[in-house]
Amino acid sequence: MEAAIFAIAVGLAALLYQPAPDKVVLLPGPDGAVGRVIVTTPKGEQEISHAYETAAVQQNGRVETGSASAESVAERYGALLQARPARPASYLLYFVSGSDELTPESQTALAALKQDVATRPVPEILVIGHTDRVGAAEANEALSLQRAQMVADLLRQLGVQPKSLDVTGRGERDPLVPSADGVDEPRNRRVEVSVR
Amino acid sequence: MRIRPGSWARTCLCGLALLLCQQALADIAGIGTIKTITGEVQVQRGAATLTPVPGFELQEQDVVRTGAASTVGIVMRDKTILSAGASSELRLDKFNFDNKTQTGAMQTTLRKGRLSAISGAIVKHSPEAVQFKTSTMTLGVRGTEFIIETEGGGS
Repeated sequence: MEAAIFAIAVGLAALLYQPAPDKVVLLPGPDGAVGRVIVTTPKGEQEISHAYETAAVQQNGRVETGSASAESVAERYGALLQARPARPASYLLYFVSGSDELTPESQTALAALKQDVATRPVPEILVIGHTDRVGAAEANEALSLQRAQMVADLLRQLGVQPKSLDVTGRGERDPLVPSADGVDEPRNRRVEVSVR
Repeated sequence: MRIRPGSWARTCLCGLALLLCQQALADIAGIGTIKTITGEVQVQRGAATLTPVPGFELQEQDVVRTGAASTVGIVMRDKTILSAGASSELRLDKFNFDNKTQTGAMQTTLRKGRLSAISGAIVKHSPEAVQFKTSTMTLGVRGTEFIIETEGGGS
Protein backbone atom coordinates (compact mmCIF):
# COMPACT_ATOMS: atom_id res chain seq x y z
CA MET A 1 0.00 0.00 0.00
CA GLU A 2 2.73 2.42 1.03
CA ALA A 3 4.71 1.45 -2.06
CA ALA A 4 1.69 2.20 -4.23
CA ILE A 5 1.24 5.63 -2.64
CA PHE A 6 4.93 6.31 -3.11
CA ALA A 7 4.72 5.31 -6.76
CA ILE A 8 1.72 7.56 -7.32
CA ALA A 9 3.47 10.44 -5.54
CA VAL A 10 6.56 10.03 -7.72
CA GLY A 11 4.38 9.85 -10.82
CA LEU A 12 2.51 13.00 -9.82
CA ALA A 13 5.74 14.83 -9.07
CA ALA A 14 7.08 13.87 -12.50
CA LEU A 15 3.85 15.10 -14.09
CA LEU A 16 3.86 18.36 -12.15
CA TYR A 17 7.56 19.06 -12.58
CA GLN A 18 8.03 21.83 -15.08
CA PRO A 19 11.59 22.69 -15.98
CA ALA A 20 12.33 26.42 -15.97
CA PRO A 21 11.93 27.77 -19.49
CA ASP A 22 14.98 28.24 -21.68
CA LYS A 23 15.96 31.87 -21.41
CA VAL A 24 18.13 34.50 -23.05
CA VAL A 25 19.37 37.78 -21.52
CA LEU A 26 20.82 40.44 -23.80
CA LEU A 27 23.82 42.34 -22.39
CA PRO A 28 25.22 45.75 -23.29
CA GLY A 29 28.77 45.85 -24.63
CA PRO A 30 31.60 47.61 -22.77
CA ASP A 31 30.81 50.82 -24.68
CA GLY A 32 27.11 50.49 -23.88
CA ALA A 33 26.19 49.39 -27.42
CA VAL A 34 23.51 46.69 -27.62
CA GLY A 35 23.02 44.31 -30.55
CA ARG A 36 20.08 42.07 -31.26
CA VAL A 37 19.16 38.45 -30.67
CA ILE A 38 16.34 36.73 -32.58
CA VAL A 39 14.84 33.81 -30.66
CA THR A 40 13.00 31.24 -32.78
CA THR A 41 10.91 28.24 -31.75
CA PRO A 42 8.55 26.11 -33.88
CA LYS A 43 5.72 28.29 -32.47
CA GLY A 44 7.09 31.75 -32.91
CA GLU A 45 9.84 34.29 -33.04
CA GLN A 46 10.84 37.28 -30.92
CA GLU A 47 13.60 39.79 -31.23
CA ILE A 48 15.24 41.44 -28.22
CA SER A 49 17.34 44.55 -28.70
CA HIS A 50 17.61 46.41 -25.38
CA ALA A 51 20.14 46.06 -22.57
CA TYR A 52 19.03 43.36 -20.09
CA GLU A 53 15.95 42.50 -22.18
CA THR A 54 15.05 38.81 -21.81
CA ALA A 55 13.28 36.21 -23.94
CA ALA A 56 11.92 32.96 -22.50
CA VAL A 57 10.30 29.96 -24.16
CA GLN A 58 6.85 29.35 -22.66
CA GLN A 59 5.13 25.98 -22.12
CA ASN A 60 3.06 26.55 -25.25
CA GLY A 61 6.26 27.05 -27.24
CA ARG A 62 5.80 30.76 -27.73
CA VAL A 63 8.53 33.23 -26.86
CA GLU A 64 7.82 35.89 -24.26
CA THR A 65 10.03 38.91 -23.71
CA GLY A 66 10.70 40.60 -20.39
CA SER A 67 13.44 42.50 -18.65
CA ALA A 68 16.16 41.94 -16.10
CA SER A 69 18.53 44.47 -14.52
CA ALA A 70 22.28 44.93 -14.29
CA GLU A 71 22.07 44.00 -10.59
CA SER A 72 20.05 40.81 -11.07
CA VAL A 73 22.35 39.69 -13.90
CA ALA A 74 25.46 40.35 -11.79
CA GLU A 75 23.97 38.38 -8.92
CA ARG A 76 22.69 35.40 -10.89
CA TYR A 77 25.46 35.15 -13.49
CA GLY A 78 28.49 36.64 -11.70
CA ALA A 79 30.62 33.47 -11.87
CA LEU A 80 29.66 32.87 -15.51
CA LEU A 81 30.65 36.39 -16.55
CA GLN A 82 33.82 36.19 -14.46
CA ALA A 83 34.87 33.13 -16.51
CA ARG A 84 34.80 35.05 -19.80
CA PRO A 85 38.34 35.39 -21.16
CA ALA A 86 39.54 38.95 -21.83
CA ARG A 87 38.38 40.37 -25.15
CA PRO A 88 40.92 40.10 -27.95
CA ALA A 89 42.77 43.39 -28.43
CA SER A 90 44.77 44.91 -31.24
CA TYR A 91 47.76 47.27 -31.08
CA LEU A 92 49.30 49.41 -33.83
CA LEU A 93 53.01 50.17 -33.87
CA TYR A 94 54.35 52.72 -36.38
CA PHE A 95 57.68 52.91 -38.20
CA VAL A 96 60.17 55.42 -39.52
CA SER A 97 59.97 55.62 -43.34
CA GLY A 98 61.75 52.82 -45.20
CA SER A 99 63.01 51.18 -42.00
CA ASP A 100 62.15 48.65 -39.33
CA GLU A 101 62.75 51.30 -36.66
CA LEU A 102 59.78 52.07 -34.40
CA THR A 103 58.64 55.69 -34.03
CA PRO A 104 59.30 57.04 -30.51
CA GLU A 105 55.54 57.29 -29.80
CA SER A 106 55.13 53.58 -30.49
CA GLN A 107 57.18 52.71 -27.41
CA THR A 108 54.12 53.60 -25.32
CA ALA A 109 51.90 51.25 -27.31
CA LEU A 110 54.56 48.56 -27.01
CA ALA A 111 54.58 48.89 -23.21
CA ALA A 112 50.77 48.65 -23.11
CA LEU A 113 50.92 45.59 -25.38
CA LYS A 114 53.46 43.88 -23.16
CA GLN A 115 51.37 44.53 -20.06
CA ASP A 116 48.20 43.26 -21.78
CA VAL A 117 49.85 40.01 -22.86
CA ALA A 118 51.13 39.44 -19.32
CA THR A 119 47.56 39.50 -17.93
CA ARG A 120 46.23 36.84 -20.33
CA PRO A 121 46.34 33.13 -19.61
CA VAL A 122 47.90 31.29 -22.59
CA PRO A 123 48.06 34.37 -24.87
CA GLU A 124 47.99 33.86 -28.64
CA ILE A 125 49.63 36.61 -30.69
CA LEU A 126 49.39 37.46 -34.39
CA VAL A 127 51.88 40.01 -35.78
CA ILE A 128 51.08 41.52 -39.20
CA GLY A 129 53.50 43.91 -40.91
CA HIS A 130 52.49 46.62 -43.41
CA THR A 131 54.19 49.36 -45.45
CA ASP A 132 53.18 52.54 -47.23
CA ARG A 133 53.42 52.74 -51.04
CA VAL A 134 56.87 54.34 -51.27
CA GLY A 135 59.19 52.00 -53.21
CA ALA A 136 58.53 48.82 -55.21
CA ALA A 137 55.73 46.47 -54.14
CA GLU A 138 58.14 43.50 -53.87
CA ALA A 139 60.54 45.43 -51.66
CA ASN A 140 57.58 46.39 -49.47
CA GLU A 141 56.57 42.74 -49.12
CA ALA A 142 60.02 42.06 -47.64
CA LEU A 143 60.00 45.21 -45.50
CA SER A 144 56.56 44.42 -44.03
CA LEU A 145 57.73 40.97 -42.99
CA GLN A 146 60.97 42.44 -41.62
CA ARG A 147 58.96 44.89 -39.50
CA ALA A 148 56.70 42.15 -38.21
CA GLN A 149 59.69 39.93 -37.43
CA MET A 150 61.38 42.79 -35.60
CA VAL A 151 58.31 43.33 -33.41
CA ALA A 152 58.06 39.58 -32.71
CA ASP A 153 61.73 39.53 -31.66
CA LEU A 154 61.19 42.61 -29.52
CA LEU A 155 58.27 40.92 -27.74
CA ARG A 156 60.39 37.84 -27.06
CA GLN A 157 63.21 40.07 -25.72
CA LEU A 158 60.67 41.73 -23.42
CA GLY A 159 60.00 38.31 -21.97
CA VAL A 160 56.60 37.78 -23.55
CA GLN A 161 55.86 34.06 -23.58
CA PRO A 162 52.81 33.42 -25.72
CA LYS A 163 51.22 30.06 -26.51
CA SER A 164 51.67 30.97 -30.17
CA LEU A 165 53.30 33.84 -32.05
CA ASP A 166 52.45 34.00 -35.76
CA VAL A 167 54.22 36.49 -38.01
CA THR A 168 53.10 37.60 -41.49
CA GLY A 169 53.76 40.52 -43.83
CA ARG A 170 51.15 42.01 -46.16
CA GLY A 171 53.40 44.53 -47.93
CA GLU A 172 51.51 47.57 -49.20
CA ARG A 173 48.42 45.50 -50.08
CA ASP A 174 46.39 46.30 -46.96
CA PRO A 175 46.66 50.04 -46.26
CA LEU A 176 44.91 51.59 -43.28
CA VAL A 177 44.60 54.79 -45.34
CA PRO A 178 44.29 54.14 -49.10
CA SER A 179 46.81 56.21 -51.08
CA ALA A 180 48.28 56.60 -54.58
CA ASP A 181 51.49 54.73 -55.36
CA GLY A 182 54.64 56.41 -54.05
CA VAL A 183 52.87 58.34 -51.29
CA ASP A 184 54.69 58.62 -47.94
CA GLU A 185 51.83 57.75 -45.55
CA PRO A 186 53.03 57.26 -41.96
CA ARG A 187 49.74 55.69 -40.86
CA ASN A 188 50.30 52.80 -43.26
CA ARG A 189 53.85 52.07 -42.03
CA ARG A 190 52.67 49.88 -39.21
CA VAL A 191 52.67 46.52 -37.52
CA GLU A 192 49.38 45.31 -36.15
CA VAL A 193 49.63 43.02 -33.15
CA SER A 194 46.47 41.06 -32.32
CA VAL A 195 46.38 39.51 -28.87
CA ARG A 196 43.89 37.01 -27.56
CA MET B 1 75.22 -3.98 -45.87
CA ARG B 2 72.74 -4.88 -48.53
CA ILE B 3 69.81 -2.56 -49.12
CA ARG B 4 66.74 -4.66 -49.44
CA PRO B 5 64.69 -4.02 -52.55
CA GLY B 6 61.68 -1.93 -51.81
CA SER B 7 63.11 -0.27 -48.73
CA TRP B 8 63.45 3.04 -50.56
CA ALA B 9 59.89 2.85 -51.69
CA ARG B 10 58.89 2.09 -48.12
CA THR B 11 60.85 5.07 -46.83
CA CYS B 12 59.21 7.31 -49.40
CA LEU B 13 55.77 5.97 -48.54
CA CYS B 14 56.40 6.49 -44.83
CA GLY B 15 57.55 10.05 -45.52
CA LEU B 16 54.46 10.70 -47.62
CA ALA B 17 52.20 9.23 -44.95
CA LEU B 18 53.86 11.43 -42.34
CA LEU B 19 53.37 14.48 -44.55
CA LEU B 20 49.71 13.64 -45.07
CA CYS B 21 49.30 13.12 -41.33
CA GLN B 22 50.79 16.52 -40.60
CA GLN B 23 48.53 18.03 -43.23
CA ALA B 24 45.54 16.37 -41.61
CA LEU B 25 46.62 17.65 -38.19
CA ALA B 26 47.02 21.15 -39.59
CA ASP B 27 43.53 20.96 -41.08
CA ILE B 28 41.94 19.98 -37.80
CA ALA B 29 44.04 22.43 -35.75
CA GLY B 30 41.85 24.01 -33.12
CA ILE B 31 38.65 25.93 -33.77
CA GLY B 32 39.12 27.64 -30.42
CA THR B 33 41.23 27.64 -27.27
CA ILE B 34 40.23 27.07 -23.68
CA LYS B 35 41.63 30.05 -21.76
CA THR B 36 40.21 29.76 -18.28
CA ILE B 37 39.21 26.79 -16.14
CA THR B 38 37.91 26.67 -12.59
CA GLY B 39 36.91 23.42 -10.91
CA GLU B 40 36.25 20.37 -13.05
CA VAL B 41 36.05 20.61 -16.84
CA GLN B 42 35.95 17.75 -19.32
CA VAL B 43 35.91 17.56 -23.09
CA GLN B 44 34.14 14.68 -24.76
CA ARG B 45 35.72 14.03 -28.15
CA GLY B 46 34.09 11.06 -29.86
CA ALA B 47 34.52 8.16 -27.44
CA ALA B 48 37.36 9.86 -25.55
CA THR B 49 36.92 11.93 -22.39
CA LEU B 50 39.73 14.47 -22.09
CA THR B 51 40.73 16.67 -19.17
CA PRO B 52 41.77 20.02 -20.63
CA VAL B 53 44.17 22.59 -19.22
CA PRO B 54 44.29 26.26 -20.30
CA GLY B 55 45.64 26.33 -23.86
CA PHE B 56 43.66 23.21 -24.86
CA GLU B 57 42.60 23.40 -28.51
CA LEU B 58 39.00 22.52 -29.23
CA GLN B 59 37.68 20.76 -32.32
CA GLU B 60 34.36 20.66 -34.13
CA GLN B 61 31.81 18.43 -32.35
CA ASP B 62 33.62 18.55 -29.02
CA VAL B 63 31.31 18.54 -26.02
CA VAL B 64 32.54 20.69 -23.12
CA ARG B 65 31.21 19.76 -19.66
CA THR B 66 31.63 21.55 -16.37
CA GLY B 67 31.15 20.13 -12.89
CA ALA B 68 29.45 21.73 -9.88
CA ALA B 69 30.95 25.14 -8.97
CA SER B 70 33.08 25.01 -12.14
CA THR B 71 33.47 27.31 -15.14
CA VAL B 72 35.27 27.35 -18.46
CA GLY B 73 36.23 30.26 -20.76
CA ILE B 74 36.92 29.86 -24.47
CA VAL B 75 38.10 32.11 -27.32
CA MET B 76 37.11 30.84 -30.77
CA ARG B 77 39.28 31.50 -33.84
CA ASP B 78 36.96 34.27 -35.04
CA LYS B 79 37.29 35.95 -31.61
CA THR B 80 33.91 34.78 -30.39
CA ILE B 81 34.16 34.59 -26.60
CA LEU B 82 32.27 31.88 -24.75
CA SER B 83 32.01 30.93 -21.11
CA ALA B 84 30.01 28.18 -19.47
CA GLY B 85 28.86 28.12 -15.87
CA ALA B 86 28.48 25.28 -13.38
CA SER B 87 27.00 21.90 -14.39
CA SER B 88 26.80 22.93 -18.02
CA GLU B 89 27.12 21.01 -21.25
CA LEU B 90 28.05 22.76 -24.45
CA ARG B 91 28.45 21.16 -27.87
CA LEU B 92 30.51 22.89 -30.59
CA ASP B 93 28.40 21.45 -33.42
CA LYS B 94 29.95 23.29 -36.31
CA PHE B 95 32.68 25.89 -36.83
CA ASN B 96 34.61 27.09 -39.82
CA PHE B 97 36.31 30.41 -40.35
CA ASP B 98 38.37 31.95 -43.14
CA ASN B 99 40.81 34.37 -41.59
CA LYS B 100 41.31 36.19 -44.91
CA THR B 101 37.66 36.95 -45.67
CA GLN B 102 36.65 36.89 -41.97
CA THR B 103 33.61 34.80 -42.91
CA GLY B 104 32.53 31.34 -41.84
CA ALA B 105 29.81 29.49 -39.98
CA MET B 106 29.20 28.48 -36.40
CA GLN B 107 26.60 26.43 -34.58
CA THR B 108 26.74 25.81 -30.85
CA THR B 109 24.23 23.92 -28.68
CA LEU B 110 23.82 24.48 -24.96
CA ARG B 111 22.44 21.13 -23.76
CA LYS B 112 22.16 22.31 -20.17
CA GLY B 113 23.41 24.98 -17.84
CA ARG B 114 24.50 28.51 -18.59
CA LEU B 115 26.42 30.01 -21.47
CA SER B 116 27.60 33.55 -22.05
CA ALA B 117 28.73 34.66 -25.49
CA ILE B 118 30.31 37.72 -27.08
CA SER B 119 29.94 37.49 -30.83
CA GLY B 120 33.02 37.55 -33.06
CA ALA B 121 34.02 38.11 -36.66
CA ILE B 122 31.62 35.59 -38.22
CA VAL B 123 28.60 37.40 -36.78
CA LYS B 124 30.06 40.67 -38.01
CA HIS B 125 30.56 39.50 -41.59
CA SER B 126 27.98 36.75 -42.07
CA PRO B 127 25.50 36.92 -39.18
CA GLU B 128 23.00 34.51 -40.77
CA ALA B 129 25.69 31.79 -40.55
CA VAL B 130 25.72 31.79 -36.74
CA GLN B 131 23.28 29.88 -34.53
CA PHE B 132 23.10 29.18 -30.83
CA LYS B 133 20.64 26.45 -29.84
CA THR B 134 19.01 24.79 -26.87
CA SER B 135 16.50 21.92 -27.06
CA THR B 136 13.63 24.40 -27.38
CA MET B 137 14.99 27.48 -29.16
CA THR B 138 17.36 28.74 -31.82
CA LEU B 139 19.11 32.10 -31.54
CA GLY B 140 20.17 34.33 -34.38
CA VAL B 141 22.72 36.92 -33.34
CA ARG B 142 23.39 40.43 -34.62
CA GLY B 143 26.62 41.76 -33.12
CA THR B 144 26.12 41.43 -29.42
CA GLU B 145 26.67 39.71 -26.13
CA PHE B 146 24.16 37.63 -24.23
CA ILE B 147 23.53 34.82 -21.75
CA ILE B 148 21.57 31.62 -22.39
CA GLU B 149 20.22 29.41 -19.63
CA THR B 150 18.55 26.03 -19.97
CA GLU B 151 17.71 23.12 -17.71
CA GLY B 152 17.92 20.98 -20.81
CA GLY B 153 14.50 19.40 -20.22
CA GLY B 154 13.05 20.48 -23.51
CA SER B 155 9.38 20.00 -24.29
